[in-house]
Amino acid sequence: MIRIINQYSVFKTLIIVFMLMVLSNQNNDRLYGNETGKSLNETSETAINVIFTGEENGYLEPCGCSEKELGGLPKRHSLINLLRERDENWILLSLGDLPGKVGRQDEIKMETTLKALGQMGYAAHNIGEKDISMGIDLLGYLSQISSVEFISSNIVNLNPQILKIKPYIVKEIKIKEVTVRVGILGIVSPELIDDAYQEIEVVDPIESLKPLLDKLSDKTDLLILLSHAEIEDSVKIAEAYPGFDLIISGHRVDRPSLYLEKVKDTYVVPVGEKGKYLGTVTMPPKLSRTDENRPSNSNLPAVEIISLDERFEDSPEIKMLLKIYQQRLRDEELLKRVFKTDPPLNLTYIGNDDCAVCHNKIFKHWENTSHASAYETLLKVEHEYDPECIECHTTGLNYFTGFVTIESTPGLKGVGCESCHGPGSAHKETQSKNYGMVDADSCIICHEDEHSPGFQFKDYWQKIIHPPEDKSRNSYN
Amino acid sequence: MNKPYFTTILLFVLAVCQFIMYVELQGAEAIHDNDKVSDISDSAQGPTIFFEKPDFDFGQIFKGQKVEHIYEFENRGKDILNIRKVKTSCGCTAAILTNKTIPPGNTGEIRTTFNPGSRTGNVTKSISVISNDLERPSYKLTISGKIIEDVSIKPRNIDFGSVSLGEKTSKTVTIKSQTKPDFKIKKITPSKPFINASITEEKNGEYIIKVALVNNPEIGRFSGGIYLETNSQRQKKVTVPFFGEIVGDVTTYPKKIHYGFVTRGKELTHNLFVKINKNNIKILSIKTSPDYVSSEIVEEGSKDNHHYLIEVKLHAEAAAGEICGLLELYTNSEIQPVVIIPIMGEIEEG
Repeated sequence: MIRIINQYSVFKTLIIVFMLMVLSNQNNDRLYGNETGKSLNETSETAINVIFTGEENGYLEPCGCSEKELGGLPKRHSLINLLRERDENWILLSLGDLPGKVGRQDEIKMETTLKALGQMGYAAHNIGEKDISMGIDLLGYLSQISSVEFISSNIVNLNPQILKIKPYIVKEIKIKEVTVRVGILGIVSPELIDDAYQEIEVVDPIESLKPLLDKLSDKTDLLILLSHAEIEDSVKIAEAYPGFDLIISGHRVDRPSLYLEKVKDTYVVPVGEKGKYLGTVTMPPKLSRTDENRPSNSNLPAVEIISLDERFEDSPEIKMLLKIYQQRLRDEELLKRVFKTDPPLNLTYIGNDDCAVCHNKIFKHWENTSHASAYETLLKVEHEYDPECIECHTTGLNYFTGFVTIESTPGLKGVGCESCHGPGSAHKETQSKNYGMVDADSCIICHEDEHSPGFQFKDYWQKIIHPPEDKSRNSYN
Repeated sequence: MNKPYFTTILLFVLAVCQFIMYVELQGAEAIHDNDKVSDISDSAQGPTIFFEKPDFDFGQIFKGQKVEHIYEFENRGKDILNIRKVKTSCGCTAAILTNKTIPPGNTGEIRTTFNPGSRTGNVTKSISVISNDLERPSYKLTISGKIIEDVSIKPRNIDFGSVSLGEKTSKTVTIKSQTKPDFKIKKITPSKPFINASITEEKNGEYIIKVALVNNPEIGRFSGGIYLETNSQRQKKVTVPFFGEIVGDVTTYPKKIHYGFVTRGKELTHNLFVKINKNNIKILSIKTSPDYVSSEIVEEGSKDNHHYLIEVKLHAEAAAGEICGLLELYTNSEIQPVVIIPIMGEIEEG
């Protein structure tokens, strides 16, 4: 009997232990802000809910080169819609850096992304250094036509009539008949600004935030800072200004789940890069800063970093915006405007057909590889007028005599012989044996981490290895 | 001791540890501070992961240069240490664990490779080591340093801003090597015929290049690059992007209005920003077509910053089919008496 009771006690203890462990681990996951891959954050009608994204760096959607690619504006919109089904009261915030580079394509990208943010209902976009590098004129035009407020607390704007930037905004949210005021500020780290601008001055955020916080601390229930800076710099701001409840930050943090920091009562949360993740924070308003009964260290938010993966469908509305984006690339004939330079040693591209005359066996083999159909893969996803995509799906785009358009240079579509071996004009004349030596470094120009994460030279080489030619002089394998 | 009692106590201790960990997380850092490692008691019953050097500073490297580093760790506890996972904060950092199971007193290695790719500037990347050490279930390692480019370009982009039609203007860019005193620029090629680029000064391998807008193209935005060939072994080719806008008396943004595919019966509004670049220029009238598109000036700036904000509305009564409309701005400008903004889209049946 005693033995039975002992066994029963052990069993009961096991269950309790198991439950305690499960419960504690669940909460840890949330605090760690894991890329959950689990159920979506359970929101509450009695909470202040914040969605944050940023550092798109010109990534509007996964290009489709790899199944594992995360992110994209259409998936983001679907997730936001899902979250809104649970609670209407989400404040959507953008940390900054919509474009990745400068130039016409990124200008169109930036306009498209801002339009998407407007459609999704973003409240504010914080200015990042890449937004600034697009030029103050363009930023000014976009600030005028966008429905999303541009904010920056440390940019001194010398032309406020054209460039509309607010130092902060206050969002009012009604929760159970009580209006809660959320102050949203934003900064960009001066260390990220390379060039000088006549129309703006980026000042020390620690200095610029002080008067704004003095003004807002009594008028708001919650203060959020969009800190476009390295995490370490944002931690310094959190230390200097414990009044912030939440600092959304990070610069070039591409796996954000590892970086969650807590500085006194302030959480510093990264957003991740290239729009691959969406972060949510849920904070109970009854514990907000103006609540006299708020105990110290009480305002614990539930933070979740959600990977935008295959769980989420593409939103048709945003997909349509991206279709218009592709149409604009076509209308503006950006393919014809690609920056070209002379090929090395005054060589010219000759096209696969000329190669096939001598290397017919290799050519026949190549015709059945993915390299040969690389252009067609772009046609399927309707990205054939996108210069960023087409560079790795055609031959010699960045060189004179290389691919220009499908109409003018049809022989250079796909990843042809000269994509890897270089322009073949001299080899055609001389049949030189030292032509076209290739190593793995040539492959990784296109097979880089983002678009070809599974690339291993040895494995991929097997897919394209050339058969020996009948005439051994022509073999390059 | 009776075996069931021992098991019960052990499990209870485990549960209490787990619970304490949870409470700590609520009040302390979400990711453990590795400085606390020194506090770990030697009397710990379980496994104890210990890194003598969890933070690695690689100093200064060049863009594209890979860094390899081995983090050595030790199990200072009294039970077997199981490494469950090694996670890196960045796709640029690869980490390989040599051994997942480390007996007490033994050591293990995490071999890391950091590939900066196109990154420059100061970087700090993290590696999380997830183990069965209850005191440090997630141990944070860092790899940090500065990535520099051999060829430095100031400014990085050439922004011409707004340039009046017919106006000649130029910018300068300073280029030098951070390592090569005998740095040479061998060739300069602008990507557009309306841009001239020439060396105006060269001193100790530092070049000042004048980039001039010589023959104005048509009104509108322009962009391109100055292509440089250098004797730098690391950066033989360098491109300096340039961009700007040739403006007349009136600048509009956007240049086209795209409504996209719109469900029939839906009303949509787009804003059009019109900047007036010359005194006494004004909009005389606005015409829109077809009739289910209308426009209204909702904001007009002061004389110092003369601009208009126009709301362009697509009305609900638009019939299904392609939208092929125009917005015509009539002005008193001699060079731009009419500015035409195409309106595009398609109305779909609901």
